[in-house]
Amino acid sequence: MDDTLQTISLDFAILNSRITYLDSGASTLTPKPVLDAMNEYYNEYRANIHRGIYDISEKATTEYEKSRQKVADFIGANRMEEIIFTKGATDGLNMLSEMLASLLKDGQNIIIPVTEHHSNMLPWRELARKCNLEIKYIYLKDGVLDEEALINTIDNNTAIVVIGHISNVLGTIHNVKAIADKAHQKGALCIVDGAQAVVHIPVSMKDLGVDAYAFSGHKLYGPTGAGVLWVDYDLLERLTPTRVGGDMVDYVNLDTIEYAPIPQRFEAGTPPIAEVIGLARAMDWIQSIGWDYIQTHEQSIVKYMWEQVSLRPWLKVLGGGAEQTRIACFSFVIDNIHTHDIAYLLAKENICVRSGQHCASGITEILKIAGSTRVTFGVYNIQSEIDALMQILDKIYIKFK
Amino acid sequence: MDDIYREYILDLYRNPLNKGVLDTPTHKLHGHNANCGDDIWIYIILKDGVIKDITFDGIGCALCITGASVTTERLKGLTLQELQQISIEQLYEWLGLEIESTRVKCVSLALRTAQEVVE
Repeated sequence: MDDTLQTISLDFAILNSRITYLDSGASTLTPKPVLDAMNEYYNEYRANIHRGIYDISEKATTEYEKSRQKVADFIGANRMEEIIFTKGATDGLNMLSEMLASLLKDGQNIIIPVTEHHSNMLPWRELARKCNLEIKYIYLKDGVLDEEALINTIDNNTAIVVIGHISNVLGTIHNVKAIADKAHQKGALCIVDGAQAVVHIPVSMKDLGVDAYAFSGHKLYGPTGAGVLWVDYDLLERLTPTRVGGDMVDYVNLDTIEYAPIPQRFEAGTPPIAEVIGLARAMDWIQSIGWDYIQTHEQSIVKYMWEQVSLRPWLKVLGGGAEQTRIACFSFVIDNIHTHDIAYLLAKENICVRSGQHCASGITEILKIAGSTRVTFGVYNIQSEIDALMQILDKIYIKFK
Repeated sequence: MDDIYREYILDLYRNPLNKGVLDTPTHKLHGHNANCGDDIWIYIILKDGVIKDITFDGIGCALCITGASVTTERLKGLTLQELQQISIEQLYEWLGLEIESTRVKCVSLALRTAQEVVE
């Protein structure tokens, strides 16, 4: 373990317990500086934002809006007003799908890859049902999303293309820039679920050229309960809030409602203030480690996983082979052993993994499998944890043989 | 390695009893555990309120398949009334082991599905 990893591990008290945590794709562990930032809010300036004229309310407002600027910088947004705080990726994508309904025309189509997490599939299927859109699914080729087919499917009638930046099952990185470019050529919107991406690779909204991008804080070393919906400002100006109430109006009387400016008009009600502040601190924490270190370390994990997998022909990893660029996310099946049995037996050895469909039932349906066992890594994971995993997998394989 | 995966449990998983489709069932019932992917069908031939034959088909974890094997084996010849009275404790007794709460849904899927049958 190098010095940086040593320092990182000190930030996670939970790593002192006996668990081997290989489920960061579901939720990352939370480092101490994030917890400290939230405690600081509760201990020192616990008040609602935007409304009070007293000191601690102003301080809360300042920290909340500073967090918005931090997020904007972290994801390379054009301006901080493009950041809408949500509960998480699912919440943001639902909210966006609700708001887009008024811009759609009967008979247009929407393109949805079968690899999508339910959070970036079901809101759009519901929208298609409500607005009478034709759904065009994009399938797999050689075990991964057929991006070429996706690009070729976009036509003049396409209203929306949705795409996960990184598949939460296959771990593969999609070329969203190329997809967004084609979508724009055809007058369509490109909406991205970035939940699995923002924690593993640096992203820039300016470079990607997409129209909207959603992610959760709890998969980004932040707390649960806060996420981000980034929407390009030009599109934001065309949207009308579908959630109305407190803290989002400029002027209201019994006849009139005038909404607050962007983005406040899209954040009805008291937001998760502590969690937003914690999320911004998580981004500081990531930057203090640096993307170079994070990516180098995580790719060494990927390389070691492939070495170990290659020694075990019975361990079948989904999503193409080692030549496929992927983040540290591996879903696998073992013939004649159900994924639930594998996960249960790993759990008995304090190894935390996920099993089942991973909220992406399109993949299991197409591959005709009951599910898979998924291991996902964070920056705190080390090679010896892969050894521990493999040792138990070997035992399970022998027991069931 | 965990105690519930005893050799006879794994034997029943590898070589399940009563697994397959009945040609002319009087009843066909679907059982599903959404979060773990167990997915089975129960086929029953019911005559005069008595289970004349019963099979299951589908996919599931070792506990689900073993539970379905034992359940179908024990339900043959029972009346509908007797079927409804079978408890989870009875199933544990048949299996010869008790299952912890996180896996009860797996092992009991076939029983719960069969108990949905109405004449």
